[in-house]
Amino acid sequence: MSCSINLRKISYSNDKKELFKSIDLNLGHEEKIAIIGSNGSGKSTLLKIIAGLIEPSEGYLEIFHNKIKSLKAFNKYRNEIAYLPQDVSNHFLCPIVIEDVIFSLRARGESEEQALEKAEKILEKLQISHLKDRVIFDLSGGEQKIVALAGLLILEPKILLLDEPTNALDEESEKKIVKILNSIKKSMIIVSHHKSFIDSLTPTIYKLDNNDLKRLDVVDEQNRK
Amino acid sequence: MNKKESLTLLNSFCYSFLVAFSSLEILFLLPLCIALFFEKEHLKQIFKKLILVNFFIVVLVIFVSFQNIDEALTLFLRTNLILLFNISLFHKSKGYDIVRGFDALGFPAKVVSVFYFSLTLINFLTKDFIETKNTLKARGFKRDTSLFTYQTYGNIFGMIFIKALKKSEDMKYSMVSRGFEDRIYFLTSSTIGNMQKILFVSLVLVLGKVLYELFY
Repeated sequence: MSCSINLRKISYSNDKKELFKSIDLNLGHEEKIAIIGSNGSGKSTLLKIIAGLIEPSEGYLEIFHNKIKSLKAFNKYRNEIAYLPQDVSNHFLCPIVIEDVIFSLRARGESEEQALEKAEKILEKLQISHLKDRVIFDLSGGEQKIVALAGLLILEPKILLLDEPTNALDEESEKKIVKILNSIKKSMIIVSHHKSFIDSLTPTIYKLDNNDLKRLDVVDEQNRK
Repeated sequence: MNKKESLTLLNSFCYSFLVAFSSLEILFLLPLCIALFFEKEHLKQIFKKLILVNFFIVVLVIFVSFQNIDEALTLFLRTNLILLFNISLFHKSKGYDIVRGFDALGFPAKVVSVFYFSLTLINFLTKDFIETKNTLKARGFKRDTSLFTYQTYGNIFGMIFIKALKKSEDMKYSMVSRGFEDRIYFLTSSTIGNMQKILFVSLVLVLGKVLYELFY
């Protein structure tokens, strides 16, 4: 299987502690991987490193088998990798839903008409066309997450990095997100605490624990908890 | 181009400039009355806001009145005319239409972006401040003049400051990952409301009269 992302001996430590050491991970084409771990174990930091937002202390990344030596070198792949932050309110860069959804296309130089056409399609696919003229910060948490996903998917990225996509959502909204994510055929790394959510998405689960990333056995229910 | 927002901003600038820098005239009430007429259902809200901001103006006017009562009265009238006009234009606004207006009027992209993100951060901090106030109530905090009260307030402001820094850092990550380069893209709209059109005409009339009196 061809790989989308490879992590090679990645370590990260901040001035307080070492979060993880010498981590290896391979994300295959259209493969979905979930990362779990206790609070403060470094899951979100690891995702930011994979998204090219912070540099690892040691080790390097390969994107589509190309070695990435610095954050600057990452810019070439920005359109291929979409990142959803844990606090989704940080994702939004425009006040109205439709404006935010087309933001990345406009920033890439597409005309307003072309961008709007694509946005209409993606909003319809995610069943949120009725929200297009609403102010983002008036939406519920679940609606905001789906709008943020629309803003990522419109770029047709090859890899999705999702940090706690169902954080603080009710059961109904979680089901909606699961349905959407299951319908997307892309490589994904999902960081989450929700066991039921992860189980409904992928059998491939890694646990970040004691500075190390370990793959959990599919049948090892005890470890998943 | 967002014509509605840009015309509203233009009306606001024009009226404020006229009232601030020309001699007071009864004609200045015309645009104000038009604006109030279009917002007649929200008059209570508008005047409530005007009274609130007047607390600061009254203090200023009292200080000026010690030196010159006429000047203090003129200052009071001018500021209230400008405020009432602007409140009637923007009382329903969440601020984002003003950003749109700046963008449509051709302000530099960086200025518009800075204005937009400042607004977002202010909204976030306001929301956070209200939540913190509710938490204090829920946790049985009663303010008094003790050291504990001041310590608690100090801690809260410190925490809000740290949260604002964290939020800014996270937003920076979003900007990087979404390809933000100084500019926010707003949708264009060509509709102009009746209020904006009539206000603009009335302001042109007032401006014409002021200029006529100035030069003839």
